Amino acid sequence: MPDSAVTVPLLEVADLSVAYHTDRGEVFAVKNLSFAIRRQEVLALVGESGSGKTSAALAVLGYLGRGGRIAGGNVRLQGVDLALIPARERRAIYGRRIAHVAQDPSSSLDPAMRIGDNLMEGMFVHFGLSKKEAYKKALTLLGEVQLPNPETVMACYPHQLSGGMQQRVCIAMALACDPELIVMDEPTTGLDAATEAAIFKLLKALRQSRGISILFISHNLAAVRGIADKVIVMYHGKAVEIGENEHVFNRPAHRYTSLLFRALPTMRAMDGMPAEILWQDGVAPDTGCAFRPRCDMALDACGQSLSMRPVAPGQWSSCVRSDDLLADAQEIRLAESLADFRESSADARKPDAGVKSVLRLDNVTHSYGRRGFLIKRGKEKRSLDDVSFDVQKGKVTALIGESGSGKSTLARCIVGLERVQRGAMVFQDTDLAPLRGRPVRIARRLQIVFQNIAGSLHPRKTIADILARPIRLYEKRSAPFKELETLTHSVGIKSDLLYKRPSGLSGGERQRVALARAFSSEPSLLVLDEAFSALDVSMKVKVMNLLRQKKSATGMGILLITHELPIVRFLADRVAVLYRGWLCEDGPVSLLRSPPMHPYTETLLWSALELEGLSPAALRMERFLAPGSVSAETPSEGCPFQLRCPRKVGDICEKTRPPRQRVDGHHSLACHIPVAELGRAQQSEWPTSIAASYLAEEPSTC
Amino acid sequence: MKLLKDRVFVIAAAILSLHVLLAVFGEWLAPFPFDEMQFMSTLSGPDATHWFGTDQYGRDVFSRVLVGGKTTLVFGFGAVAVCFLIGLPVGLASAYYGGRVDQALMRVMDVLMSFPTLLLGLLILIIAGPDMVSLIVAVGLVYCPRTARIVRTAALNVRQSTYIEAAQARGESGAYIMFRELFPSAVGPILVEFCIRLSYAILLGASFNYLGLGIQPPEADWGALVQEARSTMIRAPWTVLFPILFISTLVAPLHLMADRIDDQLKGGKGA
Repeated sequence: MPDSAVTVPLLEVADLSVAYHTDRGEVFAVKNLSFAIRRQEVLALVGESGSGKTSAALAVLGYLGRGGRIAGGNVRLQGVDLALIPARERRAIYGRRIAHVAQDPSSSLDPAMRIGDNLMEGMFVHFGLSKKEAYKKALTLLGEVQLPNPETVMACYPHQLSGGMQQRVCIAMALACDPELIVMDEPTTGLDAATEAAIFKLLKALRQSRGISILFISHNLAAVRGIADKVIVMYHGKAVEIGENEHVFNRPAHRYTSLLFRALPTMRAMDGMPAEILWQDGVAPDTGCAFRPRCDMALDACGQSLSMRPVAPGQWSSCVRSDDLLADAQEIRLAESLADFRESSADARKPDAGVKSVLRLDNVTHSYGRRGFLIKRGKEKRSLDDVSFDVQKGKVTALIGESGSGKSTLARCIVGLERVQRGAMVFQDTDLAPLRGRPVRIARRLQIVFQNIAGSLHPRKTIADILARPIRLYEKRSAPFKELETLTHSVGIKSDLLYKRPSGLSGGERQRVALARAFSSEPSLLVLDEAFSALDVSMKVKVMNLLRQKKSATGMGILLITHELPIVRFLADRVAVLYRGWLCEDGPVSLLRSPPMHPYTETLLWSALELEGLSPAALRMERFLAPGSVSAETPSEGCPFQLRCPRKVGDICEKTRPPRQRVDGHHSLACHIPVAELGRAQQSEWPTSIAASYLAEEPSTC
Repeated sequence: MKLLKDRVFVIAAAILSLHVLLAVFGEWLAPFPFDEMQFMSTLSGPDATHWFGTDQYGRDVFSRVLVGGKTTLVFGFGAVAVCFLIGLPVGLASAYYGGRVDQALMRVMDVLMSFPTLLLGLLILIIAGPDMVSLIVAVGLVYCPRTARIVRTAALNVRQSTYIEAAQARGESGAYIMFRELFPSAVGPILVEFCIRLSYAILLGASFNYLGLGIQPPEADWGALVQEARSTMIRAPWTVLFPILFISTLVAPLHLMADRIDDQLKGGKGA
């Protein structure tokens, strides 16, 4: 539809509807979706969970699985309707002309086969290559996806590779048959920023060298902005906006799009604060604009049936208010809650003089692989190495680092799911380290929200039971219905859901119930273990504001474990940086804004910026190595970061542990380079263009 | 209650209630005394007088099945109760605590299981003397390691779930997590195990009867009926068919009900 190309587009999807058979009858996951992808084009489908983007991709792949079917429309590859050709020919198309890269690389690789065999299998099937030829080709492919030492990688089993390396192998597998189109379903979810940035760089390079088209599915808007040519925004199974990348991102013509983009904390300077979107509640209406119950600009006309219409060259939208949106984006006022946000954030960032700490970690050390019963199990792997820092009352301390840096292990140690071998964890005058488990009086004040938030609800209990339990446990009384109602209202959930089980709630609702439960005992310390990465974009800001309110109302300290720097920037007061269980840096969040900073922090920061397309040419990005590019073994001597350090001095880094240097009162880092010199070196390379858009902007003061 | 609207569940429940009623009132309903021998009509097929036919001593199978119901039900459920009284906590604790606790408990269970079932049962019965209570305890003990293993496996599947960790982090006691968090989510396979164990228990009880260590003849429970009829099974299939029919109509509705209850707890189908 949006494409009036002279030639036939590579892939054309016309009026596609996908339905799933459920107990409640047919449920439509995708409704009347149309788009086209030309050669060498990258088309991104963006939307929140449940918007139908994955179903659309699976329909293109002809892999809807049991219960799903294409209920209308068709998918054409170079003009040929894929549903009409015989099944045998179709099999030759999938895998060969259309390849797929799934979200979780570890489940797409056969764990019992070496990487080489995994890779060559497809070549035997599709090309009938000899073993020798296939091996040679596999080597070339691994080189193409920029994996170091292809020969070694070929001989590895999947579990020996990191997530990022596995995903590269999956991409190589997809490339093996020279496909024309690759469908990528959230290929970088679950990878950390540095790895994610590296994968995106690879995709861009491949597109140049191979001329491949990509159908890209993601909820990471910032990343999409960096790679896509065209963007389709989906909401509740329908496309609400389609357009060229720069049009959609710069002047969105649908209110949902514009709110979504503004709701997302990014590394980029924003003209204003993140927008709050209303909680999604219940089922979206089927007629008219599905977004209208949450829209702040909804009119009566939104209830009528709407269709996509061109609103500007290269841009289609179904929003009634698209003209208003395009005419003057500045005029439109965001929700009033923004004022609160600004106030509370300014309030939270006052200098932290004389603040009491809720949790003090002293030389916490933990390792996996202890002795088993009678048998010694494997080699001991140190996951936390003398980690010391504070979480202060009423403050947010962010713990950042890549995956495998020991962040989650630390969270588990704090709440008693793991025991530390050495060190102290002083929580309100009690040392938690020697305790096995957590007694009720401590557990009450120490709550955790897990990465898999929705999964932390017992599937066989009703929401009322789930929410009432902490009250029963901590206060030894049964909670009156009124109290449970208040709890659910605080997270925007209707009280009639109290009688349902988690399976009767949407993903977003489940997440909010888990949050409500964590808040209900008014903890002094809340540990958020990657809790944001699972949240839908439109919920992130809501939850952040909720956290801020709770924090200032109750003086609760928060330990925020995350790999998303934009969130750290907006929410945290202090930052602790962990690399393979070793604390490299600890200081106020402002350390992310100006040198000096630890070379590892620098690496994290620049990959986060690069991911959003903000990396300056002047900065030699290639110096910042992706996590998968070096050995998984931590050097036993010297600086743990020496292998990837962009500022490695020499011998001393390999021989001696770096000393902890104090930058100022509350900021220290561990490096051999003197702080002053490190600052000078970083300052001189600090690109001015970025400085303007990133550094100058201070969220709390604008 | 959604279950009451479920046709399968209601029918299964009706059949089960019928069994209980027959067990309670069987003695009065039986057309003949259960131990009356009629040597004129041994091994005669089902007809108007002897609905289920007669056995090798000319006893009315129908009456014997009716009267045997009470013994069977009391014995079967009793044995399974003993089995679960031991197997359930052991299995749950094994799965929940893991490590040394798991090793220790499971090794003890392995030792129990390494005895041949009959031998172990005999040992217990010889020590305790043959009566109903010892038989229940003996069969319960013999089968508890199997139950413990099933429970452990079912619980292990959910042991790593985030909601179990959430409960630990919340400061819940081990007993609460085992019985209120692990058990409800592992209840599906455990219910199935309950039903299977019941039929096995009835049959094992019959073996002990056969050896003269359980319920003494001419007392008749269903297992004993099957056991006694082994020699005549080819010539007079009705002697084994009807007791088996009663055993299966007891176990099958239990299975079906367990299934539906599990679905309800899952909150999945039709919720």
